[in-house]
Amino acid sequence: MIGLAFQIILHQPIRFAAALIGVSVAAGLAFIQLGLYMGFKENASIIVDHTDGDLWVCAQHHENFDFPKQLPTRTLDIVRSTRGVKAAHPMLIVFSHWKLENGEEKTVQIVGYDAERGIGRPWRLLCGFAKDLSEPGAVTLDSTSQRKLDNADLGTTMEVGQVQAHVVGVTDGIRSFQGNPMLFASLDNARSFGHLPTDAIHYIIVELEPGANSSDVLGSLRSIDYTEAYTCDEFSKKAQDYWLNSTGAGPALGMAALMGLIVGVVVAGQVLYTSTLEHLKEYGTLKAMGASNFQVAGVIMAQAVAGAVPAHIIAGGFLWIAAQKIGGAGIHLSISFNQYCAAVLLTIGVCVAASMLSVWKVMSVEPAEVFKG
Amino acid sequence: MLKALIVILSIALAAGAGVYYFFWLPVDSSELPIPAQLKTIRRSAHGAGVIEGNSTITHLKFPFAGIVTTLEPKENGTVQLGDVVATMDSTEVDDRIALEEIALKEAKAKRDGVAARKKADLAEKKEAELKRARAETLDAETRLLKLKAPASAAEWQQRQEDARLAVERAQRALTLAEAEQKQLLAHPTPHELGAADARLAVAKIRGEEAKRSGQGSDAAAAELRFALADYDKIKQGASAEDREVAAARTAQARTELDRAESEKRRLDKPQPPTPVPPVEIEMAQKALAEAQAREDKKHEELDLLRHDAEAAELKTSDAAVERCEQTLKSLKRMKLGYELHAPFKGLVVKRLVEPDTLLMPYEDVLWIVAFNHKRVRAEFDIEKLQALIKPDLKAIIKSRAFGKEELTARVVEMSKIGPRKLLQDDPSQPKGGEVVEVIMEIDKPTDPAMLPIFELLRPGLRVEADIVLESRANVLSVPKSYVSSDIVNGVDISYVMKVDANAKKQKYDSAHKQDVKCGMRDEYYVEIEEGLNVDDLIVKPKSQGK
Repeated sequence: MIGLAFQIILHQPIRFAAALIGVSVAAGLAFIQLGLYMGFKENASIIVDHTDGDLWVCAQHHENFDFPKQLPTRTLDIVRSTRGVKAAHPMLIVFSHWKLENGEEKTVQIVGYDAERGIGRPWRLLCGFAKDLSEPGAVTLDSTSQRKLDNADLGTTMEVGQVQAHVVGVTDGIRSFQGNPMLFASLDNARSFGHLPTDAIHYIIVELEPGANSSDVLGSLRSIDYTEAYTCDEFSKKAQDYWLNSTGAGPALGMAALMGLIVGVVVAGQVLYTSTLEHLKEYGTLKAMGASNFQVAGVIMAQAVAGAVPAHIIAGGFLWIAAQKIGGAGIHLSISFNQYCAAVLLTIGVCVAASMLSVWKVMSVEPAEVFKG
Repeated sequence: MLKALIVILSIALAAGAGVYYFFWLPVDSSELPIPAQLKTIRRSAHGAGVIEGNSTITHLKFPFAGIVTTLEPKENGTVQLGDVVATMDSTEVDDRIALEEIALKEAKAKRDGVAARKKADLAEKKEAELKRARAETLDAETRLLKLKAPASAAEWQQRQEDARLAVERAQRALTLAEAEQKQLLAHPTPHELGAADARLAVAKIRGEEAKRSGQGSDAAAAELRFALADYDKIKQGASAEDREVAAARTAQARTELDRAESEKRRLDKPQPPTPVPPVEIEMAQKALAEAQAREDKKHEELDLLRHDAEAAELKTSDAAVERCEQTLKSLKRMKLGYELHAPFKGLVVKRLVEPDTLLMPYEDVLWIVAFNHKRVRAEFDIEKLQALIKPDLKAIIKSRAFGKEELTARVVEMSKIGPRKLLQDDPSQPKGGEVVEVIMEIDKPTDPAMLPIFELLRPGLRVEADIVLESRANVLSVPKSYVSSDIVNGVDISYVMKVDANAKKQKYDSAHKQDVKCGMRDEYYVEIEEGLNVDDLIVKPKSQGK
């Protein structure tokens, strides 16, 4: 039956190619939207997800990780003195301007962390050393933003926020949600770049004592005036929720992916249905020769799968091209192998679903009708 | 069927290759690999600072207001110790010096005149007194002799003659004393009064001039006061003491005359000689001793007078001369202020005025700095304090001003600890944190090619300083840009992308991760303690883009 399915496909290759392209584009669109969605989701909470620590403390009425409020000065001491807290590490999120050689300025997002203790340090360095960030004016930049920043590299000296800075490391794939280049710096340097007071902090990352009850400590931290406290997962979800749900970016991307899938279903279904109608007599003959409905449906579904497999390869190509083209602009298409496999199954499922109308049509054909003339 | 299988297999292979490429294939660098090599690595502390001299910047300024006439040194020029670097118009002070020199001459002339007059008058008086004392001594001797041996007729006559002569001497002495008293009472003479009046008028004129010009008014007022005192003194004439002395002298002369006349009268009536009682002889001897003592005293006084005429008037004249000299000295000193001299051999950092500029008092004219030792004052992060305490630390000085060239220096002093201050005026400098201030002296380069750079160093030039804290020679090292790191379970794992040369295919194999343990690092290189061998090939890691 599979051989027959291939013969039918190859009998009209142009029609198959048209169907393949349609399904590929639709699947590619869905893949890209999925990649974008996952990339945005990952970027929205990238710092929280990659920072060691058990709990996060932020200012009251905190809404968005990237636009934090300043914590009251005494909060750090209060957190450190809370029962069950082993250590508390301050963090800053600062926006500043990187001055390019032509005088233009690029907005950059700076993560200021306690360089001495290393909590919040960059987790993937293409080159350089995180320990060097304790030097005055030291920053890292990300390889994905080098093009935006005059191809700055290890050792480059420039100004950030009108303060002299030099690159001591290049991170790999650490991007912000908004697409601004993300830099890492020590707390003092970050305050310098952002022209903040010398005691400014935005977040406190809490490490719990071994055996400490997370809920109890969380409760104690939440009782501190003008602050909020979250577990890492809660805080990560909160960061993602803001960008993906509050801003409508998530539903928009999801809707685009859904539309891609619908288009795929329609295109594949339409091509398969037309093909089925054209070969209805042949299917009736098969049935007259004793083929079961299941076998005939298998021929049609095999055609659908045979279209879906190359379509997912072409869609993967579209995804790769999109990743190359837009990845450099700071937008991250994140898709893991498992997600890719799921997407392939989905593509096949879509094609198989699209063939159901044809299957129903074939199953409803009576063998005798073939011989009616 | 076979055809279908081939198609399926091709599709599956293409799909598999694509997936492998997309998810797992390591991305090789297009650059050629480089070998790990043995190098010298220097761990250093980095700081920023400025060039300075071995003195602070000195601001040269005139103490007076006025117009600058000359100003030779240019910015970045050098001056030698004592060089006249600038002058100010000194016409006014020159005039005042000339006037004061004239006044000094006048005062000196007056003092000499007074001294000469006083000496002559007093010497004459003292000589007369000495003569009188001698005469008294002679009388006392004669009297003693007479008492010891009774006089004969010839002696009697002789005594009479002596008595007559004594009367004449006493008359002359009286006349002289009266004349002296009269002369004393005759002061001041119209001539003296006129001269004093003229000096007073001159002092008044100068006072008015000083008041108009607004300068030297104090000196003029002092001069006026002095002239007034002089005038008053002359007008008052001889002092009461002098008059009393003269009157006493006249009275004494008169008494002497009376005594001589009495003796003469006694001798004019001859009487038989009577034996002289021993008491009288003793008294005569005593009188002789007293007369000799008086004579000696007068002699001494005359000698003293001949050496030094210490009269009040003379002192006044001396004071006037001294005042003139002092004023002149003061004016000449003041004139020195119209010339600016270089206080040391140095470099002109800034020239703030130009010739013909009107200056206010104490307005800056030039800034100079001693620059025979070229130093760097730089700030280092407080974290490096412990490492910087070591003695004999060397440093490398870099600046955008001398491109890629470097100068060497040695740490001479670790001065202050505190907040950043040195480059505070530069908004591009890092803010916050605590720093330690280090002073380094730049070594004069031995390489002739570097000498021009050394000579071009100027105070205020911003430089970067790397103090070498530790140095290790011949350690296996690779460029820092070839070492990547990931955090795995909270631990930083460093790795390089190692490639192997494939001799068969004459190309390099794909790069693969090789974990390494890193040691010391400098600006460009990092020591590899474990994980690589000498000449192992590595490529630059490339972004995975994930």
